[in-house]
Amino acid sequence: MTRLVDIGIRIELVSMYPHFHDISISLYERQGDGDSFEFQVHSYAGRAGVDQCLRHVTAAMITLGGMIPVVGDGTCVRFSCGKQHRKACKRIFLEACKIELGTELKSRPMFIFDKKTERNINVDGLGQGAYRINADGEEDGRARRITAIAGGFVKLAEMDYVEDSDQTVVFDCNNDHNSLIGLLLKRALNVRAAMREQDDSAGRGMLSAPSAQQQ
Amino acid sequence: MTDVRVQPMTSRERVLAGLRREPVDRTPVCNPTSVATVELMDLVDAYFPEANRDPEMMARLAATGYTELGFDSIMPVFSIIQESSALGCKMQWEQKDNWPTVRMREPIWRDVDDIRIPNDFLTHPDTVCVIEAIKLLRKEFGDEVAIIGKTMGPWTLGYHCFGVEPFLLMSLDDPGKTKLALERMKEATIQFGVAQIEAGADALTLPDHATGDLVSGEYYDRYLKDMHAEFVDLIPVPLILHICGRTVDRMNSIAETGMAAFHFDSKNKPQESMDITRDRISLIGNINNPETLYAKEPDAVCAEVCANLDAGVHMVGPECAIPLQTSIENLLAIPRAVRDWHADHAHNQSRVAR
Repeated sequence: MTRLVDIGIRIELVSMYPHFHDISISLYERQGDGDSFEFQVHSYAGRAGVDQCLRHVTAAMITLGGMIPVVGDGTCVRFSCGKQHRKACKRIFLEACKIELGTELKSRPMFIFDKKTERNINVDGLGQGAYRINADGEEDGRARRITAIAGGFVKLAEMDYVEDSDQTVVFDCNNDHNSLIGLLLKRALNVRAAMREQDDSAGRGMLSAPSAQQQ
Repeated sequence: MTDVRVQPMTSRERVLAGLRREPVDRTPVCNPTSVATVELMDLVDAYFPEANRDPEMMARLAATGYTELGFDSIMPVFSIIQESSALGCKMQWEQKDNWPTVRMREPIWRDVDDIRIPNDFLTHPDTVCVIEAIKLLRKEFGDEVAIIGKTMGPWTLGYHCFGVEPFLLMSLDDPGKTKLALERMKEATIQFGVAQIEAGADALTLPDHATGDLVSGEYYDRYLKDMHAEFVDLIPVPLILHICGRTVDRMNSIAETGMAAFHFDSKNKPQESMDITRDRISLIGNINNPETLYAKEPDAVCAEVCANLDAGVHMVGPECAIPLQTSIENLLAIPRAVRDWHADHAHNQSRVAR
């Protein structure tokens, strides 16, 4: 009798959750009611305390990413719009897994200080899922920086540019996701680092032939 | 090869028949390398690196390939380092989410005269672990499922013990010395293989990393073909040769060694591989690891399984040890695709008969 569960397609994995015995925690995606998508946080680890970890990660996804709980055991969520937003959801999950157990959860603001260019960056919600990125400080290089950050949102959350602007982005569901924008803002400042982290993690666990191993 | 009139078989019978290219009730789903994942480690509380060093953990994790994933074989030797550790190589054991490796930049041998198979080779904890794990699996599963062991070939041991670059340079500069080195190292291959057979292994994978990227087909003929044929005589169970990479330039030679099977890489197309080997050796192939099993979804896995079955490949499985982060649903897709393919073909055959 198999102990495996059929709960959808696994879309993300944290191989070693650093806050609880290096257990592996996965994020599964499945079709919910109607056209909506649901996301389940799951682990095959059986030791006592795992359920609490999964509920903590789920709670962090709700607070940080603005997701809403799906009725059940407290480990399933969806976006308020019901859409997939797979890339964004993966990012929310990865960020949620970084938060230590017992930490007070707070959503992140839609402004940040950009150390690289020493500017205050803020994001204005324009309604219907659209957001404009702003930066203060000298004119020189400002537009370029804003465009780069907008590009970060496009890459991290599969957002689209609003037509005729490379400084305004929009979710394809045309719904607001303010908490998600607040969560992604820090990563959007340095999207290359976020991508590098993802690539490094993807390379682990592949067995190479001896001739291909880096020593 | 596959015959709908064959009586239902146990997993073990199916794999052993597949290795002999005899009729089977359906194509065996075979794992000659490793299907361990971090999630399966959690499921049975047996984690890397300990599951490479503790026989009970090794057996428990390996068994999931059969009990949870539905493969027809169990492979307890996840890595390629057990005997190199016993030979004295310096090891990097890593952690749960990565493979143990040999520190090949710190070689233990520099010259052919340095080669020594230690007296405690088969009593070293890292070889004993494999032997004991096989005994445990045989005791638990009896004749239900094929238990496959693994013994590394001398070319791989050469890389591990001399370092990749020094060993390859030796093969260029001094073929005689290289052959002598292989001759001496093959003792480790035989000893470890025979010990696993005595412990209960039904077959052995023999990885010998004369890989397509660094070693040519001509090199295979010069250095390894005869030795691989010799292994067939000296190691008395079906042997499954495993070489990574593009290997069509040596598949004809491999088919002439007498090995029971060749476990081939997805860089070789199933049909071209079947065309070369022409049923002289069983093929086990060849679901791509990094692009398909790791990164795609079950539909893509099914498509690759079907490509193998359509080509008449004798047994189906991942091309090599799967990435430890592979999703379980992609692994489950392999046996499911095999069952579905056979169900479809049986249905079509019965329609034709009517």
